[in-house]
Amino acid sequence: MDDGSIKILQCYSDPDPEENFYTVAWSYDTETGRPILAAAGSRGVIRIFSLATMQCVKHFIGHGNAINELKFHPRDPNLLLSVSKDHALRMWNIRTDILVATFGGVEAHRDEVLSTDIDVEGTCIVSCGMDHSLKIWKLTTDIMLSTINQSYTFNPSRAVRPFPTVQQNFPDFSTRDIHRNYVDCVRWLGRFILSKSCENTIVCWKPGLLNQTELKHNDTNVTIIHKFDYKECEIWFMRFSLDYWQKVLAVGNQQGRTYVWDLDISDPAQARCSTLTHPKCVAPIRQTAFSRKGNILITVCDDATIWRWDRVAQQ
Amino acid sequence: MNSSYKLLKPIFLQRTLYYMRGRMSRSHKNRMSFKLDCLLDKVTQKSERQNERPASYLNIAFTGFHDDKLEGVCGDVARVETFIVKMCHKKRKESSAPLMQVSVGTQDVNINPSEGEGGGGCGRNACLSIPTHNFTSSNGHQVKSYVLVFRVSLVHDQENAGEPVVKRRRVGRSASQDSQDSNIPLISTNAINGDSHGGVGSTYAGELVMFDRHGRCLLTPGQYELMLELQAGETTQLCKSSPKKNASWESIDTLKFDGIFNNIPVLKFTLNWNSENSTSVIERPRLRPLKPLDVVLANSASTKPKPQGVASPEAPQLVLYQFVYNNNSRQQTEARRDFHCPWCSLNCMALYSLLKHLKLCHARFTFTYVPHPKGARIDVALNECYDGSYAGNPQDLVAMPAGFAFSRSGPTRRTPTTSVLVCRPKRPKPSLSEFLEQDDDFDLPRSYILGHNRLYHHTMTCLPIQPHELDEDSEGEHDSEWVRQKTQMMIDEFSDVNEGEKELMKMWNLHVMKYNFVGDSQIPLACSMFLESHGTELLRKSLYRNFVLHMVSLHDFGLIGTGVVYKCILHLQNKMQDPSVQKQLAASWEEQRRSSKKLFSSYNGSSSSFVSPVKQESTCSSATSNGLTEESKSSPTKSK
Repeated sequence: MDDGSIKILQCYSDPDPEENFYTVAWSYDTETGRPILAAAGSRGVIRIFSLATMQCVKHFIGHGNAINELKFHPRDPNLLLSVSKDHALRMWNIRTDILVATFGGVEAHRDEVLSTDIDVEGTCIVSCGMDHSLKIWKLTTDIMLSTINQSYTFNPSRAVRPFPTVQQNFPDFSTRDIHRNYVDCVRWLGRFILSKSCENTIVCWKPGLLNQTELKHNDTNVTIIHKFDYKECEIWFMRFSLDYWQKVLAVGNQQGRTYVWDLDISDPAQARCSTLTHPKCVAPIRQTAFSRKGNILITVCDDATIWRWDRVAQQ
Repeated sequence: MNSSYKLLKPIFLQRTLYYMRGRMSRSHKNRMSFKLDCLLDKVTQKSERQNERPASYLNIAFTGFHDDKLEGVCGDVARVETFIVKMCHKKRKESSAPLMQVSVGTQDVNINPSEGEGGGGCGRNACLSIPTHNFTSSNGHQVKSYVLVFRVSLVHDQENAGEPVVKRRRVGRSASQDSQDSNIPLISTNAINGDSHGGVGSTYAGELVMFDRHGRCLLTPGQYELMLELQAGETTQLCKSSPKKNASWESIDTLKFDGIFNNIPVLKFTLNWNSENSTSVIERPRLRPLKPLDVVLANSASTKPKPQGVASPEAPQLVLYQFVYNNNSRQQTEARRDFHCPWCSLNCMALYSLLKHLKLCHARFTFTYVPHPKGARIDVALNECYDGSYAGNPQDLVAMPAGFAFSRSGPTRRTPTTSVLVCRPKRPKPSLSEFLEQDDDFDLPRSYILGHNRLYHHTMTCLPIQPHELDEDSEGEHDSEWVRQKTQMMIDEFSDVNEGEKELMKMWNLHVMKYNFVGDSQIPLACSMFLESHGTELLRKSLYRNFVLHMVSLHDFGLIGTGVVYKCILHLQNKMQDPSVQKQLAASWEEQRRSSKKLFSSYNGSSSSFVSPVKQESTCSSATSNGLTEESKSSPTKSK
């Protein structure tokens, strides 16, 4: 709210009391323009809520285990990416209720997939998980593009065969050299990647050599651009976030302290870090999120508290 | 199944259950002696019996037709025709409820007689007698009600009687009326407000419903004033219009009913029920209490169930229900004196039927019978083994959007499921001992349908298999794309195999995986098919010698005989005759000579790390090839 407070607008409760929601993602209905919210968690079911009617309008089953993160495609609000404890990623077309692709198998993740992000242009997916690896999957291959198109026109009642879901077993790049433990959060930063493990660092890196532009499938080179260090964040499933314009980065630690970096500088070594603390905020901060303009930061803690931090204009 | 749901939407009749014989009132004992010819006799006898009753009549004595708008026609006479309209219940396959209309008489009645003239007036014959057997329910159709319809037409005009129709002097005041009929619109709602046209040729109609919903006769004897409505033309409409269409709001400011009739045409008559046919004027109606006609009631009364068979209704006993719960620590008791089920109020007529009904229809409880000196005691407990899971088509639960299959938006393809409707297993003789305390429940009700109503899922996506996908088995793991890709990648990773060898093995493996050769005896066929499909490609990639090596290996392992080796190589050499292939071969051979010469010359005499390219001439006996060299490029050791 404008006065600095927080007001709860809607609340949804799953009929199964055992459900724990781990992740949410915003999008909108391409036909009506109304906002929709996707949520998923330990039961492995993706629920789509229409906020205008305050109902769960759709659900998607199929993941074999809990879902750790949901992301919508930046260019196509109907494409939803989900990553799961069942070692796979899935891409759904939520307009036509079709599973477009699964990213899993022989060369995919070998343990829980914890986080994912789609780059701003919608060309690549990056995913990371408990197997310490980060993998990049291209969305611009012929088979992916044609299957996405087909998912809009496929008519199940007239089809003889089930929809030809792409079963992508082979990522376009893979590395285990960035972190030495579970990689629990990853985000694109332009053509670079930000990722963290439970080693008190967010690493900014890129695949291949520094000047290399193309992705090679069996490339073993990675270039580390910068490391953002902080303290006391050695448990996993702690997420950082960027604002919409990718100018600010924030992560919380297990003592309730939030670290914020200003990325809007040309030399990453000069990124300044601020810390946000409050005497009552002492529980681990699981996730952070920025408002669209980047001037409000919300952090959520394990003790069920929500904290709002406003950016103050510098004098 | 939920017992309250069964009350709302029953799926079976209680009386047809084998343990509910007490409720079955029909018996089949007449079937042995039944003859088709006797049906007609039965029906005629029945109707004659009805006619034999002391004849009763419905007598109607018309006193007059009043309409204030008809000026100056005192003394004129209108014709009243009376109809009986029979409204029957609609049978299942009929499109609408049948209506039948029968005219029972026509009388002349005075228009606007003055008050003092008493019933009948003017000495004319204005009485109508309708025998009551007209009001019976007939064969085949169950009658909903009878309606008396009175149609008053103004055709008698003493002054105009002799003149042709067109010239008849208008009786009413409306000047716009042209002819005597059918141009008058039916103004149903306005008629009451007094805006009707009247006059010669107009027809008024009124209805009188005889029986209400429960079959009680509404026509008490007395004096009646029936409101009539102007009708369009001479159409003999049946009273089909729904009451809603002719309804209108009327404000009752003062609740004085006298004023209502002032502007409306009214038919006055006296009505009574009499045992004699009366054509004379009745002076004084005799009031009788409202009594339903025997005729009507006799057909609609439900027959009481007659005791039959196993469960003969017994004398009312004490039935004690003892509900024990919370691990036998609490109890609740209820006593009844009849055999009605306490949950659904069904009259079970007998103890055995009651117990059976409780056990089967209220399966969420267990019922144990204990004989009691005064009757019976039933111990009720929660059934821990109750299976309340969904027993329908599992596809309906997962259809998207949720609840789609239960909506009525049109036909959809569904998976076939089995539901048992009728089941007649061998049953033990009914006895109360089956309800006694059981030590071990070996008698758990087993489902008759085993494993039919199942939902299957796709292997890779874990999504349910939709009904329309059932035709084809999509789960076979044959020649998957990822397997093909993986073998190629794995072959590429070898560090001690030359390029040509890798390429050939990739081609060979893909070929074998595609056709799924699994037996040793299939290898000769595999070789010849390989050459058919990939022979030219082989030569183009200069893999001739690699292929020969492969043939030799297969021979060494005993998979093919020498004849096969010979035939295959012959086949391949025949392919080399193709001029376009030859050109390509020659070109690649030239290239290799040149590159190896260069290497040789530049490294002449240097250290042992030099890998010399191997040049071998082909030594095939029937060869037309000249100087094919084996592709050999030293490949750097690959790091994994």
